[in-house]
Amino acid sequence: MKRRNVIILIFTVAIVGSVIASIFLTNVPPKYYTRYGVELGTDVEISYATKKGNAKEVVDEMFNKFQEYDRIFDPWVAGSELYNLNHSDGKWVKVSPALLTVIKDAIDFAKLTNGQFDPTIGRLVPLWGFNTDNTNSWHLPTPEEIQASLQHVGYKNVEINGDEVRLLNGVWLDLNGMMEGYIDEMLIEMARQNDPESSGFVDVGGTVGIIGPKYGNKPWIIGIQNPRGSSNDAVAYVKLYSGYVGTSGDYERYIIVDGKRYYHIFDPKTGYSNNYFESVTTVSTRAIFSDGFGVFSMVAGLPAMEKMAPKLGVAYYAINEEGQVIKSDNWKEYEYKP
Amino acid sequence: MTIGKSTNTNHRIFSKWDLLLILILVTGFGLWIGLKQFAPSAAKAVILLDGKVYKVIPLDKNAYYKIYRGDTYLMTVETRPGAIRATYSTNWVFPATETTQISVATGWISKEGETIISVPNKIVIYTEGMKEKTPYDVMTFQN
Repeated sequence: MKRRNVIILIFTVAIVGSVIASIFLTNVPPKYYTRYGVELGTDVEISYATKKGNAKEVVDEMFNKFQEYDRIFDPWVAGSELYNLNHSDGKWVKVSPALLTVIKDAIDFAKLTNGQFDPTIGRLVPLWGFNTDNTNSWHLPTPEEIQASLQHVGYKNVEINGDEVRLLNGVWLDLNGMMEGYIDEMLIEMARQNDPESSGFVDVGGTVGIIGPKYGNKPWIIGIQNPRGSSNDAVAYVKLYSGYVGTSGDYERYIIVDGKRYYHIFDPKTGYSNNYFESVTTVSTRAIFSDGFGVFSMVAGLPAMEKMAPKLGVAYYAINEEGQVIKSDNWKEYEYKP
Repeated sequence: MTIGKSTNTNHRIFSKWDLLLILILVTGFGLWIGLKQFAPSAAKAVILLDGKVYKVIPLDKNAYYKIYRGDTYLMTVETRPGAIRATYSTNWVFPATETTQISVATGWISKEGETIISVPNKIVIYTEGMKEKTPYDVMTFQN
């Protein structure tokens, strides 16, 4: 090859190399690895980017954790830790740190809401058939059946001593109102331990937690599902750089009997659902509030919701049964309009 | 334009034809990289079953596909150019035409970011290479 041609080749390669380097090092945003799944009987989506280049490995590791969470939190599968606790006949049971944390959080929240959020409604769930995905099992129990189950409801029947828990009076725990948020927190911790500068989000059953801002400095946009639309239909949007957003609603597990809608969030005093809201979406810096506040609001109604929100420092976007939108004053901090 | 001079000769290192060749090469490389990096891929749907890729379907024609777990029939999906929907789903108890199923009620999806999910069957369907994207990155829904 002629010397001149060699020089031309080197010159060209240098220019092309510089262009490639500038594209990859400056303009191209981090590549997010996104994985979907169905875990713990609900949808899961995790999107993650890290400069360490091991996003897929970390996300796969996060998904592997669900096998462990399944063995802990599923109250309806014989042999799970929670199932065993619910069937322990009032004996003290040593529980795992994960289960203990969620039980403590749930009981604390029950105390804070004076029992309007109550994780001991466990016996009501199978009574209505909402413990299964089989819609043919969902039905309206008799008033007598509901009264009988209510005898076994009450958070004061949960005793905690160190790492042991005792359930009195035959109560059953159902931790669905808190579990997703806890798992969000644990998975986000895994992501940040891998790389404190990493970014992405974790969505477990509609409770979305932020690992880090999108591309390092932009908010993630979270749609709020239209409670009377399809699962991809958003009625409003939240922008989040950090923190959590969760939603409670009446639109996935419900039956309509004589024109009245009954759904899976029960008033611990009556055993029936209350028809105050179609959905309540909560933004919080704490995952347990994003989950628990919505459940509490569906049970307690608007005045109680308005009173409780400032105490917890949460922002909410609620749609009442007439389809009207009710927003907290601080909602505008998070509101996104495309 | 003189870029440099040979030490042995008095000729220019790059003639105008050399510069033209360099320009063509650089532009060609640039276009190739740009197209590879930023060109949209063809619209397709990815079907996950039990967390693993079950099938990738190009969304370029009207067609039906059945989804099985082993020998057990689970769902039929229908495609048309740029869209997919679940038309017929079953699990261990539901009658096959149960209209309250969320996967079927989801209807057509045609934007990147939209999903069809059947929790009982552990099926997730999402799209790639679509012309439009949802205005959101992820959806919050009731838990």
